[in-house]
Amino acid sequence: MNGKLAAAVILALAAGAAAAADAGRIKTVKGSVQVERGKQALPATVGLPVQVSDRIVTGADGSVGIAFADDSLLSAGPNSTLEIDKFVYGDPRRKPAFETTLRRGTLSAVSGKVVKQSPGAMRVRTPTTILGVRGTEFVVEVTPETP
Amino acid sequence: LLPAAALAGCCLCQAPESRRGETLVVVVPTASGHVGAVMVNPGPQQVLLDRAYAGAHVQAGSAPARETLSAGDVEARFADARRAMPEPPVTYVMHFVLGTSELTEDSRQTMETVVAEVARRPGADVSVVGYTDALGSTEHNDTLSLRRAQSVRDYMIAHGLRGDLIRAMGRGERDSSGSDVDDATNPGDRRVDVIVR
Repeated sequence: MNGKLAAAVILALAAGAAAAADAGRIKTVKGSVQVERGKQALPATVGLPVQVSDRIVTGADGSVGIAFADDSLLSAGPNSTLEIDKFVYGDPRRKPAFETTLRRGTLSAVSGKVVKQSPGAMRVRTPTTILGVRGTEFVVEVTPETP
Repeated sequence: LLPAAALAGCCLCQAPESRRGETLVVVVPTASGHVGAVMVNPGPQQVLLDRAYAGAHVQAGSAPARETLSAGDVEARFADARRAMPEPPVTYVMHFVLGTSELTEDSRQTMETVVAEVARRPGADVSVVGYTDALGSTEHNDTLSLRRAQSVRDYMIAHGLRGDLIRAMGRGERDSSGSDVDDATNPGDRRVDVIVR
């Protein structure tokens, strides 16, 4: 019981530390792109850090490319919404994980060291499925439901 | 199974002009020709895509439908996203004089290349990861690997790079290349990897 509690506390502390750290950094921006962070909406610029819980939204003329700390690369085309749900890398106490959600639009991806260290630990959710990534390069398109 | 299929059919009949939300995923070869794999819908209806341009369409509540695309299909559909891809990260390896955090002469020259590469890449950031050989205690090697990483970071800052863009990490003797040989003085493990993104 005590062991379990201690483990839970350590996990919680580690989660806090990871949430504060930058997961990646924006490397390319074209057209209108925003990073929604909490109640803020930041215009995306080259060099802007990307954090867990960020939502990246591209306009009709927008596209964005991000490099993550595990060397994963993600880019999104126009009219896309991409959420960074979880990023754990470089902490020897925690299993690596990289989880994102593509709500709409297009995504191009190259997996990095999270997948090398733990195949399947990179996941991309969409409104209709979950993708378990074992390697390396793939593309995803989400066509929203039209009434 | 039958009622679910009947229900899905029914929904489509009621709104023939509507389009259901759909996901398309396609595995693409890397620049060097390597093809990875993506598991779609992990669970009872999972589909493994592990061939070049193997794709799957997934609608809500349906099993994935396979489709093999062409390179041209992918380029046409994903042109904007793929053009926005950042440059692949590049890794430089720095070596140290035995038991110290002093760079070898060759590595001091490589450092000039690193500094130039960071300056060239828009929005660059850097990871500096220290390693040691298996000689000595784990605690000593954890400390030494971090000290090596920090000395490389200091060097880069002294050469005008922003400290907040460089993260230093020590990995000790973990993941060292000669891990099958214990207590080995492998010069390849007395190193720091500098990854420029």
